[in-house]
Amino acid sequence: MSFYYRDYGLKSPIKRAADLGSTHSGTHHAIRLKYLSMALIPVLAWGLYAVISLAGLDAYSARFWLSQPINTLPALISVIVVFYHAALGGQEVFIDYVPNRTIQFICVAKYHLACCLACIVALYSILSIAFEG
Amino acid sequence: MKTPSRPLSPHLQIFRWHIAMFTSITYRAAGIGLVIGAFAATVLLACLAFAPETYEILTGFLDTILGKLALAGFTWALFFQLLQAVRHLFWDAAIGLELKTARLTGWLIVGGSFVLTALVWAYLLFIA
Repeated sequence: MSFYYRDYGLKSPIKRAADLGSTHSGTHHAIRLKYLSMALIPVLAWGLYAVISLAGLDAYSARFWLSQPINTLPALISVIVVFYHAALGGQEVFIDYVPNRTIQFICVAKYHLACCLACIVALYSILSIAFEG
Repeated sequence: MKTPSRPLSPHLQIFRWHIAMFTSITYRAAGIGLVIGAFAATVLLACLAFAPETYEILTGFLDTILGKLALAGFTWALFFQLLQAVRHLFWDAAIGLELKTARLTGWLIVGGSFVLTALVWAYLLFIA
């Protein structure tokens, strides 16, 4: 993985010059992504249940459904797992297709920021519904 | 830092079409689609919390043919991503990497993703 600039310090000068070889990083990213993808299997099942439950409901009934603790908690967990996984999985697209390292860094940083923001908005919305009823 | 020019590997126009090409690029495309869907769902959720009228307008759009098609595409992307990820987990354990097996599982997940999507939509449209 070529995203982390400081990893270049671990390369020999000739490797750095040729831009080839192992980056000595990325295992952490890969393992985190795999664990999150496994966590996404129950999240997906619950998400389908949620969509099927919410289909056809008006806003009032949908809010009531979401404000039940049995639905609020899985919703909160799902949002976190989904956006964590989306941040890690989506960054690979920028790393693969944006050749300029500076622009790539900016893209990944902004993308992570967008995922964090969306995650916070979603969590705040769910909690607001849960506490207002 | 200037990277030296390296020979390019032969690309799509050269290789014979292969199921692995489809599953590989579709895995990524489905992932991008799902991220867009997650952001859209967040907008919907924020509307439900702070602008219930807008929520009803948006879900009203999802009830049209176009909205249903978008949702069906999203469902398919979800199942394709799920099945391909499970396939990848097996590959990580070095299971199913033989060409014959990999080809078979490739076709299986393509078919499986359509079957699962059809099941969910059959339930949504005719039973729920």
